[in-house]
Amino acid sequence: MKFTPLTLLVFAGLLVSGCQSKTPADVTPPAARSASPSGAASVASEAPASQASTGGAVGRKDRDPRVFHRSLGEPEFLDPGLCSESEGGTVIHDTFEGLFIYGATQERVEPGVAESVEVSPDGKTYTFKLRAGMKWSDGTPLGAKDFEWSWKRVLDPKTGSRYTDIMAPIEGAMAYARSDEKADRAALREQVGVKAKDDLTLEVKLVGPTPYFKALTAFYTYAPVPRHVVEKLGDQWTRPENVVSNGPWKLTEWKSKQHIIATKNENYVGKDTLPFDKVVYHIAENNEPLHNMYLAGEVDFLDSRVPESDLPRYIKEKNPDLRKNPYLGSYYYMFNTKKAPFDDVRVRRALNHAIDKAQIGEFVIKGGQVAATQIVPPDLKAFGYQPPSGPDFDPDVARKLFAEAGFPDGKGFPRFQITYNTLEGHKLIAEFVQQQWKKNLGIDCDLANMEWKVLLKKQQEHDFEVTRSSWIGDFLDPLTFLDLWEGKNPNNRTQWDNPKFNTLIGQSRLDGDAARRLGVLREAEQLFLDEMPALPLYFYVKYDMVKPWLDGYSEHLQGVHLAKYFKIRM
Amino acid sequence: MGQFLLRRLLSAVFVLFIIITASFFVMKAAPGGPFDTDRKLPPEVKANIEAKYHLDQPLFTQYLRQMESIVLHGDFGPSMKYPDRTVNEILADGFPVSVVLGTQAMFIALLIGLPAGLLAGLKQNRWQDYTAMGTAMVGVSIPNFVLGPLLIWIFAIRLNWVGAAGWKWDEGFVAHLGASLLPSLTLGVYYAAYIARLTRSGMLEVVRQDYIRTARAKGLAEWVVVVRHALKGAIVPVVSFLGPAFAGMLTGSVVIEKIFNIPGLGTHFVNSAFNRDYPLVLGTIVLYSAILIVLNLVVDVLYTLLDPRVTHD
Repeated sequence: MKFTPLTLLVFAGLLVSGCQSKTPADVTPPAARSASPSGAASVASEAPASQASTGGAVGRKDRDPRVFHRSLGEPEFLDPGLCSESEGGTVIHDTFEGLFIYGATQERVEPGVAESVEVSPDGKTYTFKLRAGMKWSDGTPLGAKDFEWSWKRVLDPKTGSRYTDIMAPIEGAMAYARSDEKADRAALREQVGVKAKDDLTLEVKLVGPTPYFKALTAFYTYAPVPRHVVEKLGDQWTRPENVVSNGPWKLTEWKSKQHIIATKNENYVGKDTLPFDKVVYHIAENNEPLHNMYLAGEVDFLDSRVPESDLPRYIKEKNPDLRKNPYLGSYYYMFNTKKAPFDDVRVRRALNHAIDKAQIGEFVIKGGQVAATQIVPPDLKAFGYQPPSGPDFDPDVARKLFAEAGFPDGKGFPRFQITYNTLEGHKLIAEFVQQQWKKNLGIDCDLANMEWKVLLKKQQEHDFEVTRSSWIGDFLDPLTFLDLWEGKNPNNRTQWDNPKFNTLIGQSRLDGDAARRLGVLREAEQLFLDEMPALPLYFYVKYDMVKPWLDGYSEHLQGVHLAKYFKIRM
Repeated sequence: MGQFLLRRLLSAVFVLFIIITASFFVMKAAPGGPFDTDRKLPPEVKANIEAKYHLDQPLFTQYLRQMESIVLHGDFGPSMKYPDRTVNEILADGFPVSVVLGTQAMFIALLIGLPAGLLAGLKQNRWQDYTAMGTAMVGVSIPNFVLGPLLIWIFAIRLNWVGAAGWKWDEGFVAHLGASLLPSLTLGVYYAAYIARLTRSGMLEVVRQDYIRTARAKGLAEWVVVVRHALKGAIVPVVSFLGPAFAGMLTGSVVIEKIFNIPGLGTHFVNSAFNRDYPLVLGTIVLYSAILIVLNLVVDVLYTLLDPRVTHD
């Protein structure tokens, strides 16, 4: 209720005293913010002008510290097996729990339903031990069988899951998922390498040693779903009135384009230590309304969604609420390597050398994005991967390579097109690249923006010369950015199909020695950079905003921020 | 009149049929499909999903199937983007919101526009006229994507009187009013300005008519002349504008919905096409077409009531 007697009184007061922008809500005491020992608050206390800088002179409206308000875009699915986007994933990660769950920091996963896992010496068999006494939110016991059934449901071609590929490491998974109606699907289902040995033991057989498999089980596609509900209700089972889940919270309300509410799951093992009774996800498609709600104190945590128009200002004035989060994503231009002159590796390399990528994050889209000289984001160094040093900005080398390829000073180079989907940021970058190529190589190109689905169609049909694309990593391993360029990968639209590269990727899948495997991947990335079928431009960063009264935020490369790690301080 | 209505209804059905058919084939001709994303699905998986939605069948079979479902059951089927909801449910959720918002905006538009136009018309070339028309000019010129955020900035963020975004229909009248006042105002202001200008010009035309002179000569009080005689003639152009205006408020509120995060139909209308959510595209198109047809019919009927020179028989 917005028009309380108090606000009416204030309204009357304003009429008398003339309009002022100060209201009673203006009184979040700075002392309250700097008093806390938490890291987040100490950042806040370093910048006393914080209130003015965010514009909102507002305290937390809903003072109940047991309710957490966070931001979200409209999800497509809240069914773990069908979800394929981060919006649904955010809610699923709070309402379902896999064998393992994402940790508060990006480096590790924590035990979820599983209490431990044993890996066979060859790295190909994982035996998960489940915690005893786990239950679904309706009180039904939860066991290893639920996982076997749920994973096979994802792979079942009839389910129509869009994320079956995330289960590719499991033996027999792809054969079943990609089978057509003529195949003996029952037999293929039997051959999928996941088996409940008993109520609390799940055995998973993998195609090859997969060092990131344990972490993979934290991903939403691997979450269990309640067979007894799914079989009864079909597509309708995820509706709030029907849904049964096993996570800390349980979906209780979904108002399309307004909010999703999840309340505490009374059958959750750790329910007494949860920081909130209720999590409210405020939904909007655009960033602006959520950002406005954040400024008005209605949202505690703005999960990305900082409007592009406000971001440069926040960065410049060092807004204390703003958090820069490295994000596992690469932005690049693909070349059509079967089309002259882009079939010439010297041309591709020259075009790469001719762009001063450092300017992109600083002056073009102004979000502090990191210039990309490789394709694998640098943050994976923390996981033991040493990326090869990539080619730098060097116009002289670029011109030399161009001359060798038969285009001295850009003479004779055909006019070509950069295609991208219609969005202001893509346009700015394309204009920048166009201008860099003109300046450093003396060549002209045209920019063509098109609707997203039209661009995808053109890319899939290889109807382009240079085209924009990007990739968000599925798991914390360089492979997720490198197997993309295998000849047979449907997302590699460059038509670059290098046998040596394909072999290296295949080799990495079978190598049980972690260090040697990363070496093989490094070699593959080096080959990619030498051949340059796609031109890396920058690595993503994600900006969040966190209210001073919210503790527990930490960076996460995959952008997963589970509600259970936050806490509201009064 | 009865015959006229019948004729119009029959032609409406025919028009809707043409619209559905044309929309169906045009949207299928657009490149890409509902399941194309930047993460390309393995062809086998995509084929399995398409089979689930009958997209593997020949185009004409799909058309017949869709037509049958719409005509016989009034059912547009499940949304392809939001699969646990049907298109009918999405429309039933969003449409009332759009109607409430549109009605409130219309109310505001009339409340501001009519008196301003009347005043300007009566006091032609005096300061009242210049003030009203100057304001109207500003109202027409300020785009809603400027006015909306400006109002939010002042009333939600700085003053904190109303919520910054959202729709609070279920939370009581006061909450609803607090949440919907700014969007209604933002949506209504443009139309208020337009109505003011139309009323003014209607007024200027009417006050020079003989029957007004007669009314005055009879010694009627000025307000009686204005309200009973002049207004009726002056608002004919306004009425003919109201039909399209109301339709415009219902369909054209996309920007308002985005700024204020209102769960109306406008965003579905636009996004379903981008998402290639075929059933939802058809659903919104049919609904909006029906609204336009009905509103135009209502306007035509209102004409006969306001202006005795117009008949439909």
